[in-house]
Amino acid sequence: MTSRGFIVLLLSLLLGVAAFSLVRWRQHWVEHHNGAADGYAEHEADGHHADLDWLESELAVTEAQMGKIRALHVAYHPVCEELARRLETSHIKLDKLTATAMGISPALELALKEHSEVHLECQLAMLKHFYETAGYLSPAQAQQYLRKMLPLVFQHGDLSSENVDSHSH
Amino acid sequence: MEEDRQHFMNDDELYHRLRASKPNLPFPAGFQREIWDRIAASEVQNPIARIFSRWPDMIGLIARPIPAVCLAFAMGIAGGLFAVAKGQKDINQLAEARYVKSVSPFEAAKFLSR
Repeated sequence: MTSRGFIVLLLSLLLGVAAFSLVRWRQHWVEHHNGAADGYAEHEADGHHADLDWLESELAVTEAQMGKIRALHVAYHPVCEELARRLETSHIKLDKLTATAMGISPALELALKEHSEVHLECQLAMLKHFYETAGYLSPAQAQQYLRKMLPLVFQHGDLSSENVDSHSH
Repeated sequence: MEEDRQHFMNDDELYHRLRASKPNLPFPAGFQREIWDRIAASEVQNPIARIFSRWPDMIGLIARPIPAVCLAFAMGIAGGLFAVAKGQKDINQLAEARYVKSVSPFEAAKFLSR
């Protein structure tokens, strides 16, 4: 009787593990087939912005608030893309110059200044966008939103790049 | 008097006297029952001992068909629910990462370089 009980216990545990694995496999399959987070931004034909799903779920944003935030997001998106391209160009330029230089050349100094300018522009654009977005939220929502977003501007805090990277593949 | 004390202080003799003595004192009524009650009480007070003492009964219980099916069903449901909860957490993190990527040129630039 006892040995049969142990077999039942073992089989039940295996069933639990199997159920867990099956559901997780299904979740990954759906995620993979939806192409989640691949690509820079997802603007769908019906006007739904997958980028903004997090705001809806995390901050419980109302439809009226979402309409205004969506308009802001659409206007900000090309600005963000352009800044990202300039930043990337600046990184490539700095990589090339530092790879061959043995000291700080005038060209490298100029590239560093350009990089700082782009960096500053990015920070200003982000801050402006975050404060504008927060302006459409309630005080509590805005506080929660800014607490999450402001560390991104200064490249610190809990929303690290690893967090983004780990969910992009 | 002093001699008597020295006499009784002799360990060997004391040992032999104790061996030779046959006390015939009866145990108080309920002596054995009290001992067993104390042992039982100490086991009841210890929750770990209580669980282990019932472990064979519990194993025997799930060996029966209906409890076995119920346990298997419960474990399956628990495993599935745990996976759903974990999946929901992953979805939230994914949505957050996607939003961050869409508003931060710093993060977006990392994806452009790939």
